Amino acid sequence: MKKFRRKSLALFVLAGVMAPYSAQAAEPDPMGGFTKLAKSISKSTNGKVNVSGYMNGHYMVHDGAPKFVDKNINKPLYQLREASIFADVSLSDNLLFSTEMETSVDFSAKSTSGRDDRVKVAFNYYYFDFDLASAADWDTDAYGNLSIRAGRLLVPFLSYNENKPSFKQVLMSQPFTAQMLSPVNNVAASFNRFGWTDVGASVNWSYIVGDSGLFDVKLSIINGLFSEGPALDGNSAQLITGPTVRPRDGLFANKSDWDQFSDNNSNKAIVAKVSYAPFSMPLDVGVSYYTGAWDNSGSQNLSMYGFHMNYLEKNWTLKGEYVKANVEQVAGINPVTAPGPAALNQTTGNYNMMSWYVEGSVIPFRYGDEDARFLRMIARYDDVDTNNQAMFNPFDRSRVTLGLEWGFLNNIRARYEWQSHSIDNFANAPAPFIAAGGDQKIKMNMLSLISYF
Amino acid sequence: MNITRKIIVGLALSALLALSPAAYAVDIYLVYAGSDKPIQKELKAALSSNFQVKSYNVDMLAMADYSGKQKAISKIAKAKLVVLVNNKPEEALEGAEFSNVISVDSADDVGAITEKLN
Repeated sequence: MKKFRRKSLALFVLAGVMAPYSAQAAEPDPMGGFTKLAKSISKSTNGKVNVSGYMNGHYMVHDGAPKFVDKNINKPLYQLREASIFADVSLSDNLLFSTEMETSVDFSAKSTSGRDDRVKVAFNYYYFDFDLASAADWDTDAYGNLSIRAGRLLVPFLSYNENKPSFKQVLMSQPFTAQMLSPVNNVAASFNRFGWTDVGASVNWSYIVGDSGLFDVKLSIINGLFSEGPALDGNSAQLITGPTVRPRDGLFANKSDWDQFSDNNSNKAIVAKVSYAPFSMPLDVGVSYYTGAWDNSGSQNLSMYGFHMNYLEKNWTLKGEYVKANVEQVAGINPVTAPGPAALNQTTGNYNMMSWYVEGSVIPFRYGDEDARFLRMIARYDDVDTNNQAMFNPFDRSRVTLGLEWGFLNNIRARYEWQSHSIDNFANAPAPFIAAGGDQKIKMNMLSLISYF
Repeated sequence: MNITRKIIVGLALSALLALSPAAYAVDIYLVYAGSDKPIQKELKAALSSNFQVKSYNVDMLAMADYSGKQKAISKIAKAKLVVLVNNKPEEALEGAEFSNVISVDSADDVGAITEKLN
């Protein structure tokens, strides 16, 4: 692990030293062909069809994570994590069809990643977007802009989920707010779903407040997060030492699959997001709210609220999210049928989940034509607790992430990330968890390559 | 018909519709940043009497999802003429190519816009 870290850091130091010299030579543009193709599609359709995309691959290794029968992330994971094509098609002056096809390939051993599918392809979202204000030809300066979206849509909750592609972010790893509560995806886990998308409809009203800023409201009705069993986070995994335990990994497993249209109950979830962006600075802030029943009978509720902020300057950024969830749940039920620690596995009754993060990045050094190439330093601190009532919860933890990003070619970036996780209340950890290699401190190193067009 | 086939058929139909001849519903799309709102207001007031004018504030991209830029380009590209007010729209829509486009930096450029459209 230390050897890997030293090698990775040496690579980035070398990159920094060599970068100004390499910039003097004509540089290759591997993504140029994709960009040309996308532009030619747009041109040949009079701008009616616009395509774009991105892909990223990574090498990731943990140290101190517990080993499971079907998964050991302490061994190296090699994955083409995401290869995405976006298509936005104007069907008429005011009607747009939008979709994203996402592919993921796992090159690691199945026993390392635990992924069932080596290759997974899914349409992450697909929806129609109707510009009502334009169709009605009303004065948008006076009344604002209004559009309606229907289909499988990205759930507008907090900020990360609507901005998850790695080229929009400065770290490959996701903050706990997105990974555990506003469930985006978790690369090391079984890759059955991509972003948090759901079937439903959304109304978006945006209004320019004089010369001061932009006010934006998104109100959605969706099927909602759900569980077919008696516990919301009832999924389980078998430790290599034998017992089956609940990882209590948040809401990751409660999203519907990309081709699932039906709801598990008649209770629809309501999602609201209100944001404001002042014109005087590159800032947007917002609050989000979610409520909906998660169980089959529609009697137990999940509600979440949170806020986000993004301050995005060209050479530095500051981002953060906070989210808290209240879960209604019957106490004393053990959803795990396999042998395991019953006292730990049984449901706790009503509980709260909470997560927050703050992330800063700075570019101290730019070079090349128009200073387009750069080295960036990133730091993030995040914290999560997916059940405040559980005796022991491996996802009651904090984490420090340090990263370096090198934008070394047009639309191509390399990243190195180092993480240190610290599990809270580790004195309550059961013996089989520790025997399976679970440490209080978990370290992670990752190298990744991101490209987009 | 399974979901994959449905989506493929939907995409094919969408492509057919999209490949139909362009019909310009808007004469001018004024693309501006919030900090240039006063210029946009003046341009809109000066041009609206003779042309159908719509506006797009690129600050909306901060609120949009991650393919928001593509959606904005799809919308704006349908205008006969795209008017970019100052530098920020070009930065925000980096890589976008419009068939008929002009960049202006003040409300005094109404003449240049009219000339470009005619």
